[in-house]
Parts: sequence; structure tokens; C-alpha cells
Amino acid sequence: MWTFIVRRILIMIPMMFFVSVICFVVTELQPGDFLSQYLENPRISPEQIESLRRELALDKPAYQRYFMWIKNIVTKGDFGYSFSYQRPVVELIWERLGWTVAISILTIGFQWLFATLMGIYSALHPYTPGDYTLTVLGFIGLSIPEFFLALVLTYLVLRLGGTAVGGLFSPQFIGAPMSWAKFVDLLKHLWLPIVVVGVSGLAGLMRIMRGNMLDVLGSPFVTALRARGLDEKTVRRHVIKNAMNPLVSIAGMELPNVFSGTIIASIVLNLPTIGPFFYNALLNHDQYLVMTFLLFIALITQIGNLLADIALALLDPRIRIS
Amino acid sequence: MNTWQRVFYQFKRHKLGLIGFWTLVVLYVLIIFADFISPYNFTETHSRFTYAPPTKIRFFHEGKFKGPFIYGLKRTRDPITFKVKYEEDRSRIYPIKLFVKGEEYEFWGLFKTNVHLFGIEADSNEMMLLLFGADRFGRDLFSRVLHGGRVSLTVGLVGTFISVLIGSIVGSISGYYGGWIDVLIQRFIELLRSFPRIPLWLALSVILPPSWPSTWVYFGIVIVLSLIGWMGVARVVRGMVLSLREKEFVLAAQVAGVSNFKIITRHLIPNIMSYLVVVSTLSIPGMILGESAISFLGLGIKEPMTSWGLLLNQAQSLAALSSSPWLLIPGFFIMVSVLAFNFVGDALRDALDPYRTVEKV
Amino acid sequence: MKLLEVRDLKVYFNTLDGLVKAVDGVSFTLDEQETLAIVGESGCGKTVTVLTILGLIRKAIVSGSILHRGVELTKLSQKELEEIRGRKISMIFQEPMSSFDPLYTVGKQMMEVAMKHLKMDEERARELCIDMLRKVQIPLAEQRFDEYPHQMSGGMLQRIMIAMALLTNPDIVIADEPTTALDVTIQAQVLNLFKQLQKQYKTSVIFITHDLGIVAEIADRVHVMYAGKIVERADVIKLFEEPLHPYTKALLESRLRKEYKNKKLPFIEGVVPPPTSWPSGCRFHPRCPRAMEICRREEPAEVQLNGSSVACWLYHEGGAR
Repeated sequence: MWTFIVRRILIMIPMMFFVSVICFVVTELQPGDFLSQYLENPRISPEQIESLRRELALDKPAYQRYFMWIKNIVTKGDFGYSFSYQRPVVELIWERLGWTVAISILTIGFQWLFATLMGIYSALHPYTPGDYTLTVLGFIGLSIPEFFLALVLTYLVLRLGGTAVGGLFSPQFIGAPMSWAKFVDLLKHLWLPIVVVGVSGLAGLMRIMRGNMLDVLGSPFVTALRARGLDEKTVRRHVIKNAMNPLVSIAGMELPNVFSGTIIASIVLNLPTIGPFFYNALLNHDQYLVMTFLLFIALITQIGNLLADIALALLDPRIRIS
Repeated sequence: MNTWQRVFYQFKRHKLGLIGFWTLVVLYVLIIFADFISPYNFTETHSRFTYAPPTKIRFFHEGKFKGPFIYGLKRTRDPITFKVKYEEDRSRIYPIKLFVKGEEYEFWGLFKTNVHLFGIEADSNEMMLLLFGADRFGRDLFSRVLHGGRVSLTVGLVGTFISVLIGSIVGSISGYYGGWIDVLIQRFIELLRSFPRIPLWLALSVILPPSWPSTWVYFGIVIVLSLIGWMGVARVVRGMVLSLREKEFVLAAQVAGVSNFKIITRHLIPNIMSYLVVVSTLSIPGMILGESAISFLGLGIKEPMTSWGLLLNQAQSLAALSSSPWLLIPGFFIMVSVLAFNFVGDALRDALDPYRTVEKV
Repeated sequence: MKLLEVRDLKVYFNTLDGLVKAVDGVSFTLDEQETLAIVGESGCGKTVTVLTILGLIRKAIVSGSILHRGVELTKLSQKELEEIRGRKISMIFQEPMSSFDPLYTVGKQMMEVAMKHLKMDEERARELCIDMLRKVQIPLAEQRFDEYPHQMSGGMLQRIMIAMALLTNPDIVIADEPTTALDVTIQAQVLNLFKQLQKQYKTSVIFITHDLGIVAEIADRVHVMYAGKIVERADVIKLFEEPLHPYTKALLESRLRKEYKNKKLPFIEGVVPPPTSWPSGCRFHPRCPRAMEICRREEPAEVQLNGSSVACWLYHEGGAR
């Protein structure tokens, strides 16, 4: 199994290389560049724009700029410079990455927990009103656009007199040192993005769990277990373990979707994650920021998939010992 | 029962699928006849009705039944906050009638008329029948929702069609020829899949030049959406082609000298038709949600066209949201249509693919 | 009081395609320390019968009586049945790989049974189970104990299943085609082991198979089933020397023998009918080379003949012999 992991990690290197090409191409295709916004500005002369262009190396042909970028990454760990923020891109992303990853992991945990509980219940009481209700709720969860859910929940919270909307902290806590009150405030703000991002994935996972449970309940070894005289609680334990196994890796593969969801939710709810950041960078043609961001996301997705596969291998003896 | 009869029977047994199906029928009828059904033109602004709330339809005036009607609206400005307030003016009564003459429009470019399904007989400066309220510019939200539906409900269809087309072709080639072509295509797909969808969609959407007219933007968005969806289809089609390739009828055709292209199109594709149907229906929700998200963020459909996602963009400011919650109504339309497609897709899948060989794209 | 007495057992299923009469009036008994073989083609109801004895069939309409040492099994609750399953009546299945939980070691699964039924603690249970593994000739038993099912061969797993079945020293072991899924060479080994252990533990066995060769090796008595009913009962030797029912005769003839070399192989005409529509009268009549008018109209009752019994009109008064 370890050879498998090492091989996967080694393949990631050329993969990331091609990924970087795609990142570059996608950003390049955007018409205009960072300086386009200044073209309309009467106070900046065309000559100034030209010289800025040369300074920022935006006048060089595309493939040259690409290789410069790659060279800097590999030799100096320099992912480029943000035109709008006037700082190295890596710094900017790093600052925001923490919250993004934290929210994503919490969301996956939330999804996983509820999907398992609801899926198990559904499968053990199939075709009952409870099961149908959960199924329909699941479908509704799948069908709500995330940004819409964010808006609706925000509106409801406002109506009910709450003030914990927008951002991760209330104004009085921003910049203040961590304290119990601040932590509670954080929780009050945090549940909203987690629910918003988690709901649609939750619905899908729940149906998978239900399906798995029903499949396992009908498989021959369950009859064999009962024939041994084991009580139903023990049998259920066996069934749940078998049904849950593939779910760990599937939940892990939800990572890219959760990431996407965080982006949209954080734009709407104004959270200090990379979402709003990326959005603004796109609008401003902040090229290196956009490219590096896409690169990082792809990398995290690949790592997420790898972790999910490792988790699966660890949990399933058939893969672990082969 | 032959295959088609069986499919219909299974579909009908799935109650949710039926509900979904009829909901979609209603929605599509609404958007096809949007011009006729909406009382007003969806782009006209009315400065006297900015952020007007949905007009309450009443049936009783001073205790007496009068049929459906609305009261007039008085617009005042709060002297302290300068916020606009609306109050019902019970002295003016406007009965709601059918087949009212209103603003002129062209019915799908065929003929001009000014007959609307329902409305009030009043000039739009005096009073408006605003079922869903009005937006920032006093535009009737009901009309805008119906017209926006034209975009929201068609991008999904067109985008899915293109996705499935590209995916089937690529998947068939990949599975049929195998070898290095297959490996190349598979690696490429894996590459694209390491990106989460939304960032990629957003990044691709900004490629559309801001100078483009809104119809071009519409097609641009459709293409952007379909560029991501085809990969799942390709993977499934490839798997099926691989399993069909060794079947006897293919070998027989090859021996008989039929060209590869003909084998793919005449023999393989018809066999996977039912799976393609399932995949298509299951991809549409994702496309509708995708378009809504992109347009909501201002990177998608452009004015004067509108879509449900774009309509929700106005609800983004907290101030507007708390005072005019009716701006959220387009979101419910998104939800209902996606739900309907999900139900129908699920029912079709139970009928055509009970062994779940096809996953969601 | 008999060890096991099944009286007029009927097991029906309500399906989308109609009412399936899987078991339609089956009666038999089992004594101490004897091996009863139930023979028949797929679909004749033999598996459903034994699963019903253990109460493992769901969503079925069951009528009739199953008495285990005088206790009516059909009236027991699931909890009460749990005390009997795996303890007084054990079962081994056809596919060993599908009869184990792939995520638990075989040792753990054996210990589960030992700890529940024999009320042992973990240490003693472990000892007993490893010992049992040695008895079924598993080499390196201690090591194998901590391995997973997928790491073993079919033959080995089957032996472990036998070990699990005998752990509690049950009255009855039900074996549902235990060697069908194994390689021919392994079949003989497992069968021999089985015979050996049965003598050692003095259990009674209900052995289900469609292979008459195995019947000859292992059975004391034989019941032949067709279409949900028992059509012939005999001691094993009598069955082979003097088969009575045309179906039994056909089964015996259709075994491959060297006499058939270079000749056309005998087979039974037609196929087993679908369980939703058993034929009228004697259910075998469409395939029977000696069918008479009455066979189409009425079901024959069982008659005794020289120690065997058979349900066939040929053996009734007035029937041609």
C-alpha cells in the first residue's frame, strides 16, 4: 500500500505542472490585463501605461511570462506579485487560507455526522413517513442554491432580531485577543456558513449512506451473521461499519465542492476567507493572484483526494492487506 | 410489457417524479407565454414604484364581495429617514380583469399585440399590479421572474445538450479506440477534475468580453457551463463503450467492413441512449444552479437580459434585503425548478437504470 | 419426542409477479445422530425450507409446524430464536466468502459466537476458537486466527465455517450445499472432514445438495424434493438400488457415467417450472416420461412401499407399475 501512496505523490508533480499550464491559460484568456482599467482614466497618459506595462513585464509574450512564473516558483518559491494589493501573492493567500480550510473541514465534519445519522435511520426504517420526510428534505437540500440559502437565513436571523450576520466576528471583537466571549461570538457567526455550505453535500451523502445500508442489509453475510444467533444490535454494528466504510473517502472527495461552496457563501456573508478575495482579484485582472489561487485549490483538491484514498485503505482490510 | 411501456409504468409509479414533471410543464408554459402572462414589460422602469411591496389582492371591500381587486398605492417619504413608504389608498379601487389591454409586445417575433392575460386597467404611472413587488428601479418583479425564467430554464437544457454531445463523442472515441488516445484523454479529464467547479466557472466567465451584447453573453455562459459538465458523461460513455466493444454485434460489423465511425454512431450510441437520457436529466440541476451562481455574482447574464440568479443580485445588500424581502422570490423559483428536475431525474433513473451504473455528473 | 419434526410446512411469498408457493406442504423428521440429505434442482424449495426452520426468511406467509425437541419454532420471538441459532441449530452456507464480514478477522467473528453462546470471556474464547481451528485442520491456526476472510481460500473459509458451526456442540447442523462452490479436489477434503467431525460431535445433519455423488457418501436417509414438495423418501442404499419416483430415476440416470461414453447423454425433458405457476395435478407431469391422465388432474398422495415412500400415481392401486 505504501508503494501506492508514494506513486500517487510522485504523479502529482507532473500533474501540478499541467495544472499550472491550465491556470495560466485560463487567466490569460481574459481580455485585457491589469492595466486595462486605467485606459479609461484621463489622468493617466498612454505613455505612463506603457512604461508601467514594461515594468510589470506585461508586455512580454505569453509563453515567456509563463516560464518566468514557473521559474520563480521552483527556484525562489515566489508565486508572483499582486498588482492591486502590492504584496507577494503567497502572503495574501496564506493569511486567508487558515479560515477557509477550517470552515471546510468543519463543514465536512458536519455533513458526515448528520448524513450518517440520517442515513442509518432512513435505512433501518425504510418506506416509513420518517424515511420519506428525510428523503424529501434531502432533495430540497440538494436543490437550494447556496447563495440563496445564505440570503434567506441571513434575512431570517435579522428578522428574529439577531445581529450575528456577516463576517466571522461582531465588530467589537475584531482585533481583540481570544477570550471565551469571543469564542462564543465566533460560534454564533460560524454556524451560518457551515450550514449554508454543508446542506447540499449533506443531502447527497445521506442518500448514499442510506443506499449503502440497504445494500449491506441485503447481502448474504448478514443472513450468515443472523444464522449464528447474534442479536440484532450486534448485526447492526456489523452492517453500519460496512456501510460507512466507503463514505469516509466519499466525504473526503466532497472537499472540492465544499471549497466551491465556501467561496460563494463567503462572498455573500463577507467572511475573511479566500472567496471574496478571489472574486475581487478576478474582477481586477490581478493575474498572479488568480493563477496562484487556482493552483493552490487544485493542489488542495489533489491532496484531499489522496487523503481520502488513504483513509479508505486504512479502514478496509481488503485494500490494506493485499 | 415491452421496454417503453415498462418505462412509462415505472415512471408513473414514482409519485415525486410525476409531481416534478407537471411542475416543469407549468413552469415552461409560464415562460413560453411570459409576454402574455406578465402584466408589464419586464425592462420598463417606473420611478414611482421603486421597491414597492407586492400588492395585496383583495376580494371584499367594506364587507361586500367585489371579485379580485387591488387598492391604490400612496407613496410617501418619511421626513426623518428619507426612506420611501407605501400605504394602501382605499379610495381607489382597481378591479383585476382578464385579457386586459396593456403595453404592446411582440409574441416571439411573430405578431404584435397588447393583450395580457390579466391586469388592471390603469396607466402604469398611476397604479401597478405588482404580484411580486418591484425592484430598485420600479420594474415589476413578476414579469422579470417570468422572463428571467427563459434564461434560467434554457441554459440548463442547451448546456446539458452540448455537454452530453461532447462527452459522448469524447467518451466513445476514448473507449472504442483505446490505447494512447484513451490514456491521453483520461489524463486530461483527471487534470480538469482537480479543479473545483465554481472557481473554474468564475475564472472562465470573466473571459467573456464586457463589450459583448447580452445574447452573446448568454451563449458564452452556456458554453462555459458545458465545458465542465462533459467530463462525467465522457467517463460513463467510455465505460459503456468498453463493455459493448467486445460484444458480438460489433465484431460482426467490423468483419463486414463497416467503418469505425458508422459503428460508433449506428450501433454503440443507440445502445446507451437510455443512460444518456438519465445522465442528461441529472446534469440539468447542476447547470441551473451554476448559471444562477455565476449571474448572481455579476459575472454571468447581462442586462437587458435577466435570469433568476441575476435578479437575486439585488438582494445582496443587507439594507435592501431586510426592507424588501420579496426580492428573494426568484430564489424559490430556482429551488422549485431544480427540485422538479431532480425528482424527474430520479424517477427516470429508477425506471431506466435501476442498477445505478450512472452517477451524477 | 423427535429431535426435529416438520409438519405440513408451507412458505408463500407475495411478489409483484403473483403468489409464490416456494414450499407447499413439506413434512419430515430428523432423529439423533443421523444425516438426512435433501436433494433437488435449484428452485425446488430446499433452501427456503431450512432457512424457515431458523426463522431467517422475511416477509413470508408461513403455516405449518416446526418442532425442535417439542418446542414450536414458528411461534418463537426473534430473541428466543437467537438462543437457538448458532447454538442448538447451526448452519453453514454455500459461498464461504460471502458468509463472513469482510471487515472483521475470522478470529473475531468466531469469538463473537463463543462469547455470546458459551458465555466465555475473551481469553478463554480465543483459546477455544484456535483449538477449533486446529481441529478443522487449519495450518498455523494462531496466525490464521488474526487474518481477514479475503486472505484465505474458499476451502479454508469453509472449514472455518464448519468450526464455527460446531463450536457450541449443536444438536443439528444444516449444511446448504457447502461444497458446491469449491474446487473438486477440495470438495473431497472438506467432505471427509465434515463426516469425521459429525461422528466426533455426534450431531445430526440436514445436508442439502443436488449432487447425488455426495449423497451416496454422506447420507443415512434421503428426501427428494421437486417444486416445493417431497416426492420420495428412502434410505440411502434403497434410493440408489431401487429408485421409485420417475424424477429420482431421471436424476440418477443423468449423472455422468462411463457407460455413456460415445452415446447420447440422458437428460430430463423440459425445465423446472416457475414457482408462480406450478403445473396442475402432479407437478412433475409435464416432464415425466410415464405421465398418465390422472397425473394431470390430481396430486398424488404419498404411499409406503418397502420402507420407502413415494408420491406418484404409478404406485397407487390401479396404477401401472
